[in-house]
Amino acid sequence: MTETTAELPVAPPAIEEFPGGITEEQWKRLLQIQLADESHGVVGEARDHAIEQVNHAAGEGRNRVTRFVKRVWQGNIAKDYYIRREEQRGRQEIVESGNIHRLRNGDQQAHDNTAAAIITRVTEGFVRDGETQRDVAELTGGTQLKDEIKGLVRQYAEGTITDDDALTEAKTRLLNEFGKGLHAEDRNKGLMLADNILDVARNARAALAHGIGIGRIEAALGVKHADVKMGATTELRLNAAEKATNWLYQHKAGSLVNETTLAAAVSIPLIAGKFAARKVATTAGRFIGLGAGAAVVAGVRESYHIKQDRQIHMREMATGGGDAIAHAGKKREKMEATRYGTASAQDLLADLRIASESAGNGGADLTDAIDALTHVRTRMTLSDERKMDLIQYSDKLSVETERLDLNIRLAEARVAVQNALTNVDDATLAAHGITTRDIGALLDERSTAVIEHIDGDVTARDAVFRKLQRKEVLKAATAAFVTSEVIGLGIQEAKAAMDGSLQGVFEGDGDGQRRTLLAGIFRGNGHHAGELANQHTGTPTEIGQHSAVDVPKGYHLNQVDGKWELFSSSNKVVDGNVTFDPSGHLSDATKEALTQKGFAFTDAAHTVTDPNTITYADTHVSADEYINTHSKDFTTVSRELWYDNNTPNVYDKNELGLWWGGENGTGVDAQGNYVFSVADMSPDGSFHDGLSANAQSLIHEGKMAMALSVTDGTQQHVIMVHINEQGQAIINKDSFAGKTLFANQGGQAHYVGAYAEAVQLGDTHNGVQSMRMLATVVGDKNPHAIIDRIPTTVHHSHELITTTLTPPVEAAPLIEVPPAIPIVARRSLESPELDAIPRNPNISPFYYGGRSLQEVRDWLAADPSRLKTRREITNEDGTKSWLEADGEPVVRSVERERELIRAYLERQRAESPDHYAMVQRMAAAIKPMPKTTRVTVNVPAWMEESNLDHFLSEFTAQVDRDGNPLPPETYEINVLINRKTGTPADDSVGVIGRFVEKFEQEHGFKPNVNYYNIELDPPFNNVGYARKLLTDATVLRSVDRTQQDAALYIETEDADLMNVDRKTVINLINKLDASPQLDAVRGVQDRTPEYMMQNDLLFLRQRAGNFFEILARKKEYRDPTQPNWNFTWNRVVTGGWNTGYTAEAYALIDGYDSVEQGEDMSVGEKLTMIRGDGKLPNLEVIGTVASRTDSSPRRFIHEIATDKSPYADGNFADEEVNDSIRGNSLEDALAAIQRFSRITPENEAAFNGAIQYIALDAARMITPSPEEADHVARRILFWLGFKKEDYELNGDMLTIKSWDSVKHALDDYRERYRAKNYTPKHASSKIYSPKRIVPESYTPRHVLATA
Amino acid sequence: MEEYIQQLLQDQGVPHDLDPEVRGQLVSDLMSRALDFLNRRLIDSMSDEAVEHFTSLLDNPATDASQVQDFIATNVMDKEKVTADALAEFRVLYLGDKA
Repeated sequence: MTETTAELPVAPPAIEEFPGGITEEQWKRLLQIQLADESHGVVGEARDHAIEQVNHAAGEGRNRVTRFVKRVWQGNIAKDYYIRREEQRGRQEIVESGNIHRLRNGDQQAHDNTAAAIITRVTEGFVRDGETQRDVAELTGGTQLKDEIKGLVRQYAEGTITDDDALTEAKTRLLNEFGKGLHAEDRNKGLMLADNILDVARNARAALAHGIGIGRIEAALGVKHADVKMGATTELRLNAAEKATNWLYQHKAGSLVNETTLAAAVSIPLIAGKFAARKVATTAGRFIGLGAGAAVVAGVRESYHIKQDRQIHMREMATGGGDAIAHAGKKREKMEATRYGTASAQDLLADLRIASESAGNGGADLTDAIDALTHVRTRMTLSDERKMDLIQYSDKLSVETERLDLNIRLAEARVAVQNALTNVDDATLAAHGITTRDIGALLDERSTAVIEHIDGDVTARDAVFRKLQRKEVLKAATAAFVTSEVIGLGIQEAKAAMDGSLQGVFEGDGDGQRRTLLAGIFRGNGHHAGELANQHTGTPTEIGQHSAVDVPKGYHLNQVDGKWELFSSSNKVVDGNVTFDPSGHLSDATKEALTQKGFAFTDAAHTVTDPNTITYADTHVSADEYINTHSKDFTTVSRELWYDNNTPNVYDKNELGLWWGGENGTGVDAQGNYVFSVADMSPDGSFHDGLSANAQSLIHEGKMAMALSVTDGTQQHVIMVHINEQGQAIINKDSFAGKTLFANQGGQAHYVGAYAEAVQLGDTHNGVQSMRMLATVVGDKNPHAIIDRIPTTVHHSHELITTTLTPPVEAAPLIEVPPAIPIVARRSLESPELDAIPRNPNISPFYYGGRSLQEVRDWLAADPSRLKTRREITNEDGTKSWLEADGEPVVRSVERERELIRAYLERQRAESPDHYAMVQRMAAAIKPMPKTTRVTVNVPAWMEESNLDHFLSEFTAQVDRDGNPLPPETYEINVLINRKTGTPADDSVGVIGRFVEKFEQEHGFKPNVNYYNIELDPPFNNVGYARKLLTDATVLRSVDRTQQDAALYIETEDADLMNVDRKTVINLINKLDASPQLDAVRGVQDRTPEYMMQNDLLFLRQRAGNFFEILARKKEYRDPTQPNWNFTWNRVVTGGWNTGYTAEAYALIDGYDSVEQGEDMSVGEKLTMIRGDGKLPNLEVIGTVASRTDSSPRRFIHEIATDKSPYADGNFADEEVNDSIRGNSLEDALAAIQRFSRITPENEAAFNGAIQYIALDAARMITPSPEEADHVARRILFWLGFKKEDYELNGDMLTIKSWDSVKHALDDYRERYRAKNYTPKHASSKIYSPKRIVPESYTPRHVLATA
Repeated sequence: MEEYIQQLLQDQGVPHDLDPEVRGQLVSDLMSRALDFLNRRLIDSMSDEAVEHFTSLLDNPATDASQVQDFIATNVMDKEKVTADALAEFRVLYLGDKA
């Protein structure tokens, strides 16, 4: 284990001790210049901050969709890119500011403290593991630097360089030059150097003053360089791929392979070629492969990101992160479970202090001291060695100072323990198991147990992390695969819908040359030639007998009017005149034409089988042969018995009943057919034993037949001839039987066959007919020759040459591989307390007061009890609720309001007794506030006699939602007439008095109008103090009420209002009652359009400003964590008029600031801070309300006339400026800016400049990116009436190319206004006699002792 | 390699008349992404033992680019094919259905 501690530092001697009383070591140390390269810290700080910013940004969004998109893009796909970009920007910002804590809201003092701590640490020898320290001369250019620094010190000591600033300038220049050359190959080196040159130079000057020779001083001067580590210790543990990527990044080497390999690879056609295919299966396979690839990539990326999450969580927790970060969300909770156990730096320091103090006590105290020492040293050493954070520092700004403290306290404790070990007796040592008096050996011995304990924790946490990592990687890979496939298919179909050349699955069959994978799957191969290049119809079209053409599947050849035409699958004519040569083959002309269209031809010869032909020949055959060939004409029989009438060998009865029929018993009928007859057989003439047959019955039943046998040998196969009802069996003379078995001998039939039997037909079994014989004619058994007709089959064929057409490949539709886009949203580490300083917390355009973020933070920090955090939560059912810091729901409470107001007033009484006394007198001067009063309209009036009557008439006419007058006691109007002490009063008091009198005459009752008439001494003669005085008196009167029905709201106004919304009061009540989380609301502030529209420049400037404010407060920009968030404008800005707030809120912010201007804006700024988390504001507690009120544009007219801002440079309170403004009527004021009344070629530049300033320059300062600024500028220009083509946005420049559209828009606006027949109101100053005035005794001349 | 990147941009439909500075940034970003992807594939194709040696090599501050490339040449089988496959794969991943 590397020792990270050094000996106890030598106490620096007082310079007055020169030249004596100082050791040589001390002497050298006093003149030891130390340079510390803080680049590691710069890089680490920028990177940590970049990751935090990107994580935070990735979790933000206007809605769920944008949040999802951000999580996909910034949270995953492009995360590394954003981190690098932000890191680079952060590094540059740190270096340029010269402040290592710049990104953490740390001021220069914080940086100086850190730099001093580092210098001290390395000077004193507390070099950490991984740090280097060497003589600067060992570095490139170090010798020259050393000489130059020593020269500077000498010049300073001798007085050639007289002051610190000059020395600082000179050494800064030297170090910058040196830094640039330091490790030039490494972009992360030489960024920032800390040094103690000034301190050493002072020491040298003091030494010289004390008589030390310059030679000796120079000889003692040393310059060392240290490469130091800063900040948290945890480093990312990368796998090989991640490590290689980082290595290559650091070494500016792009690839792990050389250029030759790359060049060879990129020349391979596959890389530049198409990835589509013509086969669905091939395309699908590639697509799935892509999805799997995407999953692998996503998994690898997730593996890296989750390591990064763990690293940043550990680093954040080690540098001040508390429970708020540890439990900020699910991701944080998971990371917290994997975090190694840490010990607080402050706790360790306390342990070391105790160890130092108590080690000398011996005994258990010594043992405890040794344990504490072991524990701290082991943690410090292991942290550095293993690059993990085992110590938790208080905050990011204190890491180096606390680390230095630990080093020093550790050294102190070590000395103390060593001394104790030296002095303690052997018995005590033995009693406490202390085996050695050598502190080094003892610490090594005891550290083993501490290391084992830490190792156990590390192993357990790593195991938890690995499990988590596996789970998250699997999830990411799965999500990537699924989404890449699903979304890829969807995107491809969406694209097909818009891309006419790509055919999608929903677009039916077409002949597009490209189709989507789904179209390929669901529509198969379709009819596309290219797809089917090798598939043909299979039924070639024959052209003549010896040739044919086989066209691709889907194609067809048609003969129309004798002309052949080739059609494609989409029925388009490919060739309208396909011709053939005389042999039937494609003609050369056709082949040429089709070749030019990309077709190819293949001829194939094959034999075609023609239909067979059959010939017949008459041939003598035997009876057997004939019967076999014509079996179906013969009946196979089984003779059961002969009805022999029981007289064997004697033929009698029906045995003799078989006779020749036909003509005259000749056996031949008129047609020449042969006829047998059994008609004469008797019914009982056939019997055998007990069996008999009724011949007549059998004849009638159709059960008798003649069985004709050809030969004896074939008598089992007979020709069966049916005997009809007449008892006749007729044998066609032309039949086989007639021709073969009979002979006509002179007109007499003669049977030449074997037998002719009259039989009774029995059953048929297995194809064998049984029969019983009744009578038999025995023939000649010499049938005629049998001649049969024998068929002979003749086979035929011919040769056919088929020409196969193959269509052009390039014409084939491609089934495109969908993109495999792994859309995986990744939830980043939650960052609840981003304490980064907003880049642009306050800006000057339109800035008329208020405070900066830092000022309000400081105000809050001055009294942390001011913090009254409120937060909005999303409930399980998706609804949202507001909660107080203690988790209770936010509600309005009269009791709480009164309690807080009393506490506020009590603070006023304690801190500003004179002020409070004044408030009391004012409160007592007017009537008590009724219990039903809900709103007080408070208005300070400084020289407003011409406006007060109009103001009061507008505000005393307030109505409810239905337009009915509000109950009088619902609200009151309080006017504070004020002026600088000694200034002559105007007639404001008289105006109010006369108004009241007139009102009473008209209405029969007095209006609720109160006024105070006071003088204020400088510096309290300002609007801020006037409002404070008035409002304090108001809230005092409120809590003095014995009863209060509901919360009190304060409407703050200006006296020069032109048009007041008649529902201002009721809108305020309704809005704040309905939204208890709101502390204030802002209405619509306008500047009397009827006047503004008379001057184009005035109108455009004001409207551009209005639009700017509306866009700046949009929710998406109202995000304090976005880098360019603007504290002043990215919010609902509270104004001094048409703005209301709760009396409770007023008490919480300690009332108005006593300032010349901007007190109104501070109300909102402070309110949002007390409702925030202590560092960033909660901007949702200021709302808007619909009340629309017009004030006077007089200040803005004055600004155009004089080119002086109405609110800058003290103009708002400048008496001369105010006299000038108030001394003119609006008509006169407008006349002074007549030259801008309309846009002309002469004044266009002024218009352009004004719009550029408001629309673009200001937008740049309140939006997160130049792109967003351009977006805002375009919106403003659009709302002003410009068309896109009217202007050009080019970088920081807005150029108006045409004013026509906006001129037309302005004219149109004026026309519409005139059509309304609107008559401008005029603030009057009619003279009335006052009826109610504050007694003179209540007109104080106010002096405040303290602010 | 730059030609390959330029071709990717062209296939992606990035206009030719893009501001040169913006185009340069695009090329730079894409080049970085492509090389990252390629490097990952090269390492994936190494044996476990080679990866272990490789990380040791990277941990050594004295290691220079030629040593790294020599190591890859020795330990990645058929590095030309791995390179070509990786660049083809990256092309498809980048261009999606335009590939």
